[in-house]
Amino acid sequence: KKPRQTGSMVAHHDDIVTRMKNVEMIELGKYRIRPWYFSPYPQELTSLSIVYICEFCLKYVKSKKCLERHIQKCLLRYPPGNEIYRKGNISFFEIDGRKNKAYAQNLCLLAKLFLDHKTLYYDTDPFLFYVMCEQDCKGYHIVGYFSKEKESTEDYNVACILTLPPFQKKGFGKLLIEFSYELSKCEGKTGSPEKPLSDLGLLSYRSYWSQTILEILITMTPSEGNDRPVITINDISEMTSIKKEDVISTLQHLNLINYYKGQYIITLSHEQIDTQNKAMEKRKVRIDPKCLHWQPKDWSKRGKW
Amino acid sequence: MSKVSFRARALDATRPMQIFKADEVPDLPDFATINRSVPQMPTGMEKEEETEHHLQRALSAQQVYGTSEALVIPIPEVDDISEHYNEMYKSDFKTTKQFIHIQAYGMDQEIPDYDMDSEDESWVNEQKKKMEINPLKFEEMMDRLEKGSGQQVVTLQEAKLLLKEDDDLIIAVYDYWLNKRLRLEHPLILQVKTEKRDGSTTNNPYVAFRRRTEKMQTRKNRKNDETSYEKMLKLRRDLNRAVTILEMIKRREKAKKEMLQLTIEIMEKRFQGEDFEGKMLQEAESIRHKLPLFVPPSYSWGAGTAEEGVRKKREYRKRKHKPVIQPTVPSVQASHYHDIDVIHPEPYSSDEDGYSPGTSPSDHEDENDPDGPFAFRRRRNCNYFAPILNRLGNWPWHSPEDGGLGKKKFRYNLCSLSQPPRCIGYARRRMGRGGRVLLDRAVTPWDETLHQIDMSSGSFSGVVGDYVTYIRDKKIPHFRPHSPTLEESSSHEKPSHTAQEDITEFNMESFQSHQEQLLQMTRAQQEQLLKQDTSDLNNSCNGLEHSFSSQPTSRFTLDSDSAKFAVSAVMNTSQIQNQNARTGAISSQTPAAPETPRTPQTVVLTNTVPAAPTTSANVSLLSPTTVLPPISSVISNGPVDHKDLVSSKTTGLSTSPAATVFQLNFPLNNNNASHNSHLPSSSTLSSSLSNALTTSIPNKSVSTVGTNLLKFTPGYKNSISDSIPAQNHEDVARLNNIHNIKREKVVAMDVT
Repeated sequence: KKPRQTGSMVAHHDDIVTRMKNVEMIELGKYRIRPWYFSPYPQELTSLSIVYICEFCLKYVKSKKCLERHIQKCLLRYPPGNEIYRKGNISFFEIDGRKNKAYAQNLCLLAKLFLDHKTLYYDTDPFLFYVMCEQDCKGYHIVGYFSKEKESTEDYNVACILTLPPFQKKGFGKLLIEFSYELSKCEGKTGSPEKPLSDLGLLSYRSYWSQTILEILITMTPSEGNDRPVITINDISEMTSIKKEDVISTLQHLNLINYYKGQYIITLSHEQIDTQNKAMEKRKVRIDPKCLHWQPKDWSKRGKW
Repeated sequence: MSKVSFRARALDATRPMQIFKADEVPDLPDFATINRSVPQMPTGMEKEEETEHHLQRALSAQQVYGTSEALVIPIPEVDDISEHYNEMYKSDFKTTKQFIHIQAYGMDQEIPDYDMDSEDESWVNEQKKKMEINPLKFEEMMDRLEKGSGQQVVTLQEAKLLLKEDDDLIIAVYDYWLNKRLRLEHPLILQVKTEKRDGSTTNNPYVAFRRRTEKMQTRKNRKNDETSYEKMLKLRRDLNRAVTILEMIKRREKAKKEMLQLTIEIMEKRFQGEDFEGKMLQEAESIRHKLPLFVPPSYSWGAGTAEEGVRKKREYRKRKHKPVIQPTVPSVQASHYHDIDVIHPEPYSSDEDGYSPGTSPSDHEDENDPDGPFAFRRRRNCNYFAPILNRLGNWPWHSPEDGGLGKKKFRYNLCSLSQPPRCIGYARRRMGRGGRVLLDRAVTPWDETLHQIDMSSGSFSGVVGDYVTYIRDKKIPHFRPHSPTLEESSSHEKPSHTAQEDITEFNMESFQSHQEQLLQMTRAQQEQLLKQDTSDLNNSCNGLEHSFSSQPTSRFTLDSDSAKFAVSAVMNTSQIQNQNARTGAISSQTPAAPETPRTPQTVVLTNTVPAAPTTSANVSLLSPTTVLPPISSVISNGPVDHKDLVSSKTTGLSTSPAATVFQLNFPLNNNNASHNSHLPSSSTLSSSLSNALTTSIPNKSVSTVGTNLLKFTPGYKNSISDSIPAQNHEDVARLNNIHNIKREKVVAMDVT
């Protein structure tokens, strides 16, 4: 049974092989990471104790010696795509899954080690890959990435999204998500992550949505002639590019919507406001739309992706 | 507002919601009971995973504390190995001021994919002493060997071609590579497995990045495509039509303008010539009628408008209009004009529902097709034969050269019915659909008289008696249908087959053009019938879907329907009509009288092939070979007066089906001519016929009468066309046809 041709996620793995992680350890840049999930790296590598991966081109080799040899030859110091965002030491690169197949495939293989529902059944042609990097004197180090369908039938603005384990719990995930919505704003569309969401995906998105929406609600001021600020769900959706359904589910999840005297109102508790303020203090690194240099392409007009 | 128990209305995304701080609405808990009306949104997770314990705890924490930080969310195990890392990766990277922009295919550096391992390193270090080799060179060689090998490992010979090095080095590396590969039993450059075409890799989890075979459907609602395509086609056709109409309007307006200018010019000229009484105008017009060259060639119908004088207004008529019985001349014009309209390849007629030249044959649609609902449509599982162009067909009355039987008994002969016993004039037998025997009746001016004859009965007096006597004396063939016998029906089998086959040749294309004429004719006939006070005309002739062709090539064959019509169209007594209707389906006809020696027939055959220009010489063959009846017409040579012709009175009804019938039967021309010619008629046709025919008519009624049939000989037609120089530009064959029809119409009208 073949998976559907759109998207990058599968509901469940029929094959017992794919349910078991097959790579013991990877070495990527200055980190050794123990993967969680199966990834279709060449089967010969799965018997090794460590799979070595070039942190720039993401090529996998079987030994440290091979990696050393490779690094001497590999001239890449950043992902093989165009830099479309840079602020401070954070940059985003856009990689076309058709034009840079080798890199896109290596990225997918790497990501699959940490993503359960991802499928690598089909080629990477219909996807764009947005790789977030931290820059230092050695080059642009991959921190995380998300992929995105060039054309989505279901308003997905993210297919797979991953912060590499060394960078997890540091707010990079939110940065990736924020960036994905920033792209959607450029496109003038609302978007939503591809389903099914993983558990961590749901937690991450819930967190991002909550903070983004609360930020708006808290900073709302009454418009002229009203004694209270007023907002519609569509307004929130437009401001954030978060799909309407996700806005509603977040408002609901946070218990913000109440039916009061014949109409719906939004009520913010003091605890919620406090927590929000604290959380936003922690989010020091934010996406700055001014630093994004990107033009959405109409992929439907190109015969091929 | 008190506590409410009704269901709150659904959440509206477009409805503004006020934002409160919780303490600003102290009575909010009172309303908490109805807060559940907001629909629960799906989480987007898999159902079985959604309920996982740790996740639920984390979600609850988010809900309650706004963060799940208190809970430990696992992350993959990570070790920092910076020391080693710093050795390996250089720290010399300097970024650019500008955003990094990668050149397409800038990645294609010529670096070998093969990476030396420690084993290789020691081997290379060993070899370095003996040969010129370094790690990169080694990797390049290994890379080539590896990539040169598909399913089959490269041989040494191939390796020597691949590697442009010293033989010693090649052999060394090749051996090393081969050994290593044999030992490891897998490719030395590891790659993700790719799909095999045989489908065996469908479920292999180690096969990834399969090609998407089907084009990804990136948009929904493809189902509309077909209908929208059809709509686009329709739109295009409509726009095409609009363009055509506008073009035609442009032409019309131009013509009007020209007309106006000419009128002004005429007025000026008249004024200058002080023609206040209109004398000059009349003179000019009479000149014009003698030289119809004035007529603009594009309106060829103008040629026939002798009586009409200055045309004040163009006639706009739709082809589908029901013809009204009109005075002779206008109806001539109408029919003539319509006919031309069809024949003309150009759409320049004023016909407003004319077909557009832009429509392609594939666009055939009812309202667009000049043939309307009668448009020819190919049917599946039907074979359509090409028309027989070099001969006339294989009807039984045709000569064996044409595939017919050449039997005289199938020609037009005098025919009587047993019930009621009387003669129906000239008829021809033919096997129709389903073995029906059809009588193709020919119209003769003597029908009226013939119909009074009952050959089986005793003596007659007067003219009728003369006829009977004559027929008997001359042993003119005459037959009378009787009930079929087995023998008879079998003998008719062959003709019936040929008839069936011929049907497929039938060309319907120009059918529509005759529709109106037919209708008019039928009407005229009806009227005539009424006059004769004969009761109900079989109305079937109106309702019939007549299909026949007046293609100028005269290459038609009739299908049974049209033949039927042809029969019915020429009827002039209801009696016969009824009789025919009764007998038509069942009776087979056999000659009642033994076949009398017939006139040789003939020559005319070639004459009537319209493709061949007919000359009077040709035609003249007709009569001399004829065994002439005592009373036959002398048709003298003379110039044909077109007007005479048009206004000539003939009592016979000629319809275009009849003409067709005649043409089918033309080998018998002389027969019919001779037989018919003795019949009295007031027709002055002889004068016109005389142009074409040189016939000796040794008897009384010199004033006669080619039969209607004779009138259609091409020679005759030519004579007419010659008389109309205005239409010289017309194809002769076409013209013949036009005039044929036109005259038929005249005849038909005159009957009333």
